[in-house]
Amino acid sequence: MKGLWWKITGAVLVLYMIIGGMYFPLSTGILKVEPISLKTGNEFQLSISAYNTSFTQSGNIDIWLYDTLGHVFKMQSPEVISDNFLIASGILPAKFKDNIRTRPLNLLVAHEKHGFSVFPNAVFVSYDSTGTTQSEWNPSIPNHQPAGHITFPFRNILEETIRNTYFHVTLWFALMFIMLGSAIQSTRYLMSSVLKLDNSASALAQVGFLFGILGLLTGALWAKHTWGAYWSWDIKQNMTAIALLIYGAYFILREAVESKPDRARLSAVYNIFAFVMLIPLLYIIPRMADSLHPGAGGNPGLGGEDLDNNMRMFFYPGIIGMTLIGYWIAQLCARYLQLKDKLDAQVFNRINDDNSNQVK
Amino acid sequence: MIKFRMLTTGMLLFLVNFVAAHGTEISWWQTEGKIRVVIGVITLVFLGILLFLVLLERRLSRLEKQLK
Repeated sequence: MKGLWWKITGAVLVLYMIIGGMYFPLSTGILKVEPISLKTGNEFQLSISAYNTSFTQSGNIDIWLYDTLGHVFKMQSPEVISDNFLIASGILPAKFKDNIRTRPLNLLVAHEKHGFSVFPNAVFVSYDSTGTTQSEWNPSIPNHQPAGHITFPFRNILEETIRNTYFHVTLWFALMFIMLGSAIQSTRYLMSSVLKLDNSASALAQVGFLFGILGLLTGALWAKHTWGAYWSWDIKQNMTAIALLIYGAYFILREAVESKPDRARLSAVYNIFAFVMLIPLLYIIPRMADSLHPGAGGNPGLGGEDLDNNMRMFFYPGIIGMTLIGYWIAQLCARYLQLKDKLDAQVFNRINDDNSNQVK
Repeated sequence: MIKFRMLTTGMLLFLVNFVAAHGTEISWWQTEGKIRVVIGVITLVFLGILLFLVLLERRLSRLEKQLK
């Protein structure tokens, strides 16, 4: 059991993340609203397509249009067509509160069973001077309770791909810890010249590189769904590819030098340089330019509505688990390299002995 | 042999992530029961990787003992 506990912990945490992260449903959401253009003082009908709802069993359903300027409007009781589709109608007040010509309004659908869903900027309402109606804006929306069971946030662009957070993001976190470990081992090698430390640094860099490729691939798949293309030459994608190429050069450098001490010394220095480059390439340069990626260009990274507390219950253990699994693979790699070195040394000694016997 | 196994581990890890990332597309989840298939496949692949790592660890330990 010695030295086994952290491997078991890693495996359990990743399993917990996979099962929990994939099993719990998304909260209810609104996929589509039609029409998107309304006029004040006119009667209208909205077709609302929703996700993960069960309108037929929901009981009382309240539908509101609202904005932050105090325009609040409650629609009439909707006609439920199916579990995920309903039609709501109403007659908008004749005027906005101020002399505004056009306002985007958010849509809120509150239902007894699943809490509530919000669709930002669902409709654009424009002022119509011919519209005449006696209806008034409501004072405010009453508080609605969220769903009582565990759900993950529904985001209109992400939809179910929000679960990729558990793979894509945890891989990048794990990569940072693994590459940090690799740089530390390289530093220790430079201070002590023990070849075992160089093997360990190399093994950690190999696993980090593998995680980087996986992170890039899962990111590309995610980008296809949310941004429309696997690779859109976004600064985050480009800088990530450059960071991985820098590490790719580390492995080429290692293969290019024959002498083990020379190889270890050179690659240790280069490995520290590569890790130092990783930080500006992944975390500083992408934040200095506009980017589609969260954490840059005004998008919140790891916050806002993309990562709520329910997701955090699986996300943080997932990071620890992925890191431990990475260290486990790296440890196996390092042990293999160590065995290879020992075998090489034994073969070398045997050949030397044979040669000296022949000379005698 | 061990290098080949490391490559296989890498491929399996890739498969877990590939299935996970693809399995999250909305059309997959709207049908009842698909979610269980996705969880099952990912869990099985991950358990396969774990088994593989354990076997590799045992073999390395045996080789280390032999060399001592």
